Amino acid sequence: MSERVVSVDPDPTEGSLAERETVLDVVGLDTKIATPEGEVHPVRGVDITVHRGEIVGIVGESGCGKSTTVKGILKLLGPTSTVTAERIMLGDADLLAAKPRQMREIRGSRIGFVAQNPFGSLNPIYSIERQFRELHKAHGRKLGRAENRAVALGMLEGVGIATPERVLDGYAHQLSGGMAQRVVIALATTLSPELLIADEPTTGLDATVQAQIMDLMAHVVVEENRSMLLVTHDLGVIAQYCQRVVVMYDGLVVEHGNVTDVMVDPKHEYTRKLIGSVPKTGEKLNVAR
Amino acid sequence: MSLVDVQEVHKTFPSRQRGGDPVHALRGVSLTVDEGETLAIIGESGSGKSTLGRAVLRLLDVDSGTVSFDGKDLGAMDRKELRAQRAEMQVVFQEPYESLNPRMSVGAIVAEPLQIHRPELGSSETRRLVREALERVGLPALAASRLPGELSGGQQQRVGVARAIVSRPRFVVLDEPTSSLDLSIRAQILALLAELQEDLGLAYLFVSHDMHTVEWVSDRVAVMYLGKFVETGPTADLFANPQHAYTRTLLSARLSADPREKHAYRAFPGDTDVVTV
Repeated sequence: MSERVVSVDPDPTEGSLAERETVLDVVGLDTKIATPEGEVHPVRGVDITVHRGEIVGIVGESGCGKSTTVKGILKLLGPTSTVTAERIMLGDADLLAAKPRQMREIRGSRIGFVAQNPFGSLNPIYSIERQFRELHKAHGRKLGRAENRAVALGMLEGVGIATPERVLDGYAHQLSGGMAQRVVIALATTLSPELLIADEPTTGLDATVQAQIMDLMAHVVVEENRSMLLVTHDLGVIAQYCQRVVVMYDGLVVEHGNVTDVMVDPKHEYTRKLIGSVPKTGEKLNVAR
Repeated sequence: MSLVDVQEVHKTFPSRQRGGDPVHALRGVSLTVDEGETLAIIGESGSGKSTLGRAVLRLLDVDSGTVSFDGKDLGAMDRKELRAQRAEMQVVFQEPYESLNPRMSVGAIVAEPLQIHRPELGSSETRRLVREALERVGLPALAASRLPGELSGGQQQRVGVARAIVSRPRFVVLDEPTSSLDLSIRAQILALLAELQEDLGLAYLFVSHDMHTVEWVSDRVAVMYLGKFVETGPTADLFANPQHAYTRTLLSARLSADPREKHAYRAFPGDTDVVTV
């Protein structure tokens, strides 16, 4: 993938959005976490909607609650935490009411998750091929070895891996960071989930690898008419890949809207400050006295 | 004469794997930095840019080539001469917390270069210079009694900068000084570095992987790939009219925060994701 192949509708009107199918509908998400120093309340009343075919970004700085928000949706916060909401719906599935067993089935088959560190997502002692096998097994899909290998080869080719046979026979530690993240994306999309959730998927990767991985993720979403909720601190990733953005600060959504509106003409003071901290192309640093 | 003059420097590290090929981290690098200017070294992981930053300060010994500061060959200096010279050449590292001793107070951390380079100073004069350095980097005087762990990441990096300027250097290597900081804090630290450069006449070698930051702060840029410079030039020219294919690839990977500006990523032939078996 040498060219950025994805062209996304830069300015979807409210009318067209309303007609689009809602994939994820979160209203009033709250998380509380018990700590030895008392209860903390990192996410307070967050609303997020993701439509089919759309990439929605959550942006904010360290500690704003963006990662806790998606972990709350996925119910991946630890036992010391509680998640409440008015509703968390994935299509017709009520995630708020879902039992842990049902959530395990939903994660992987209906929601693919891509985390920041691919080496934390991959099992270090299983071959990559076996990890595809385990994925099918965990979701009760019975595939023969040959069939699993064929599916896995196709998935790796689909994420732009030039030597899929070699990668399948190898282990996570033999991969570069960019390659490992491609494998994670292949695994996350194998069961054709309608929604991808990605938490800082390119943070820590080199810029050239970041551009390739983001192009790939956008391609995977657009090509298959999936949706993605993308958490990042990088305003460039938001501006170049998302159609709508949710800006978080201190556990709250301070501004949301379509990317062009929010990034070009931010309404909230915090958004303005955040965007003002990014060097613009061709700009020189002014010494503020 | 340039303040810093590096000529044809080579550095090889042994392979981390038994029987593996040695890593040729620097393959004949030459550069100069003039008084008061910022030269940025831009490159990706493994390009050799941090090795170069260390070689310029002689924090590591090179295999061949010369590194001179103010006309003096650092390679020919003994430990004592080098130690005296280092008052004028300092460094700020990427991870502020990891580069600060967690058990030392901020005041003691900033005083350390003075104790090494200016032992003749009395304790009250040392304290005065520490206070002045803290003030210059925008920290309150009472920060001196704090431990690094009590400060935020941005404040910690201010301590790193105070330590670097307290001995009145003429040249500072900035090795990804803002890469681990949040955006709004990053902008503050970059503005502080620019202000210090103007006030103190510092020369900077700014090592970074971030093209936005480099474009923002540097006068000249050198693009590093596999231990070599593939292109150097004045920042504005190089960004406007990149000559080398790798520079064009790097620039195409920039993600503008303005959604109206679109770039298409252009792959570089040598830019391969390979399995290391």
